[in-house]
Amino acid sequence: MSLKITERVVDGVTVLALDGRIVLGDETNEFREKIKNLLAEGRKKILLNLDNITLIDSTGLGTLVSAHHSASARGAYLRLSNLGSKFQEVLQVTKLLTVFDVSPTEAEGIKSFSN
Amino acid sequence: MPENAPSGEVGVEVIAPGGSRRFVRIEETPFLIGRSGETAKHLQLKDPRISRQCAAIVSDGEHYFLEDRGQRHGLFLNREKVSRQELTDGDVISFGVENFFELIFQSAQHDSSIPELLSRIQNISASDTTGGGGLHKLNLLLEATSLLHSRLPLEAVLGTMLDHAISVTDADRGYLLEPVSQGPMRIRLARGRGGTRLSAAESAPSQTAIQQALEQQESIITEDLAHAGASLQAAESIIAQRLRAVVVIPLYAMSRASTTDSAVQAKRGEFLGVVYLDSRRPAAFSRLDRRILDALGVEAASILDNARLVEKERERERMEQQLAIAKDIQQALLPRGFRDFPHVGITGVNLPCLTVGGDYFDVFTLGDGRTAFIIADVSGKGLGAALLTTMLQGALSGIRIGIEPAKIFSHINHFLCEHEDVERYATMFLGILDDDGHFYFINAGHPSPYLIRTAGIDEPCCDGSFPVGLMPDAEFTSNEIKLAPGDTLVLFSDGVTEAMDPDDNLYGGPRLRELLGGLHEATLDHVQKTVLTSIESFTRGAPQADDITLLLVRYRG
Repeated sequence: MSLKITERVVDGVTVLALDGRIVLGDETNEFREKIKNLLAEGRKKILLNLDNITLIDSTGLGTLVSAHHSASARGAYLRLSNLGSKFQEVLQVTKLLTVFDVSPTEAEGIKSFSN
Repeated sequence: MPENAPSGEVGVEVIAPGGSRRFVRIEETPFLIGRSGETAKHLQLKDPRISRQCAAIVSDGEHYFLEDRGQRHGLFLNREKVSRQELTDGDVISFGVENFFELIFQSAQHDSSIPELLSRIQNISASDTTGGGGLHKLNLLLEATSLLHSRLPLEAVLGTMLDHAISVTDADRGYLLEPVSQGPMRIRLARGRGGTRLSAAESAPSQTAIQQALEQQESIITEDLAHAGASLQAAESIIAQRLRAVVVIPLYAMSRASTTDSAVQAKRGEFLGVVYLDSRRPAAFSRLDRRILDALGVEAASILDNARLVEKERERERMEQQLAIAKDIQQALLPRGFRDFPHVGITGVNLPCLTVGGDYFDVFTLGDGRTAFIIADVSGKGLGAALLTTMLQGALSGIRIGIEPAKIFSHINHFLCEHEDVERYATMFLGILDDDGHFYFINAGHPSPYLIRTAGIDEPCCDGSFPVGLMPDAEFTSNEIKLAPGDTLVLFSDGVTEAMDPDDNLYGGPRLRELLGGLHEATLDHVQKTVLTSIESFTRGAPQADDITLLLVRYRG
C-alpha cells in the first residue's frame, strides 16, 4: 500500500494531503472509501493537496473524476492544489484540467472555497 | 489372518456381526453364497436366519451381477431390495437381517489392499493392544495411511479413513463434516458400521459435542456420556438418539507459514472440518486407540488439505486456459496484412503487460481511398480492461457502415457513463486519412501522436475532448490537418511514455520525440523496432505496469 492520506480541517475546508501513488488496487480503493465517508459525514469543501503524489495511473485518474462526480451530486466541492508537472500533464492530455478547480498552493486552494 | 489380495482381484469383503473382516476372492462364477452345502460352496455364512441357498454373484465375462437365489428375508444392495442387479466397486450386500453379515463387493485394483490392511489392523486390535502387537498395529496404520495418500479418488480415501475410524472406535456412525460460510457444518460423508453409507439427511451429529471440540480446538473423546460434563449430557440430540459415546476430532491444515518453527511450536493452519463418531454403547479406548485416533485426525487433515490445494491448482489451470483463449481472441482481433492499404503504409504492435490487455488498435479501409485507424486505451489492465476493448472495437466498426465517428464516440461515452459500475473509461484516437493527405481525427483524451516530417517532429493532435466514459455531457469534435507525402504518424498508448526503469523513472514523451527525430527516412518496421528496442533498453527488464501499443501510419501520397 503506497498511498498515505493525512486529513486536517482548515477554515472549514477538509484538506487531504495525499502522499505516494494513486494507482489501481488498494490505493484507489482506500481513496474512494475516504471520499465516500467524508461526503457521508456531510463535508462540503474538500481540497486534495497532491504535492507528494509521485504517480497516478489511469485507474487513479478515473477514481479522482468519480470522486468529483460524487461530490457534485451531494452539493459538495472537490478541488485540487499543488499539482506536479506529471499530474498536470495527465490532466492536460485528458482535458480534465477544465473539470477540476485547481490552485497552485494549498493556501490558495483553501481560500478559493470562500469566494 | 487373510492374505493381502493381489492387485486387480475381484472379491467380497465379509464383515461379521462382531466387526471382524475377511476377504474372499471370487475365483469362479457363479459365486454361491448361503448357509451350507453345495449351494453355498464359495461363501458360507453360518447362521440359521439365512437360507441354505441364498444368493449368487454371476458374471457375463465383463460385469458382475448379484442374483437373489432364495434368501427368505430378501437380498439388499446398498440398502435396496434387489433380485438381480449389476455390482459396482464398493457396493454393500446385506441380507435383510439385523445384526448380521455384510459383504462389500470389490472389483477395483486399488480397493483390495486398503480394506485388507484395515481389517488386519482391526483383527489385531481385537486381540492385542500392547507391546509388539501394538507396534505392529501402528506399522499397519502407517502402511494404510501411505496408501490413503496414493492414487485413490478423494471420496474413496476419505470413506476408507472414516471406516477405519469407525472400526478403531467400534462406533455406530462416523461423519466427516466441513465448514461452510454460515450455519452448521455440512456433512460431506456419513458412514455406518461395515462401510455402509448413511444418508446425510437423516443424520444428526451432536452439535454440542462438535461445538465443544471447536472451542477447545482439540479432540473430544467421551467413552461414556453417563459420566460426561453436564452440557454434553443435556444436549438434545444426544438424548434423542440415546448416544453413549462420542468422539470429535477437529482437523486443521498444517501451517505452511511457520517452516522455521519446531514441530512443537507449529501453529495450526486453517480449520478444515471434523471427524465425528458416535455410538449407543459406552466405549473403552486404550491409549493406543487414542493415539491412532489422533494419527487418523492428522492424516484426514492432510488429505483434505492436499485435496484443497489440488483443487485450487486445477482452478488456477482452468483460469489460465480461459485467459489463454482470451489472449488468442484479442490478438486475432488485431488487424492483419498491414501493407494492403491504399496510399498508406501501416504497422503496429500490441504488448499487454498481463496475458490480455486494455489497449487495442484497428485499421480498415472506408472506400474512396480513405483509411481509418484507431488506437484506444481502457483504464485499468488485464481481463477487465480487455472485455471493454472488444466492446469499443465493435462499436467503432460502425464507421465502416457509414455512421458518423463523432456520433459513435458520443454513444460509447453515454453507454459507459450509464454503466458507471463498470468503473472504466477509455482514451481513444481515431484518424481517417484521405488519398490527398487530408487527415481528419477525433481525440478523446488520448496522447497526441507524434508526426515525423522532413522539418522535424510535431504533436499535431493535442486538441480534443475528454476520454469516453468519464463525463456524461462530453462532446466529441473532429479536427483536420494536412499531411505531406512521407509524413509518418506515431500513435502510441501511454504505456510507451510511462514505461518504467527499475528505479521508477518514466521513459517519457521527450525521449520518444528525440528518438523519432532521426527516423524520417527509415522504414516503418525499422521505426517500430527502434522504439521497442529503446524502451527495452530503458526499462532493463523491469516489469511493466501498463500495456504497450504502437501504431505507425505513413502517408505515401
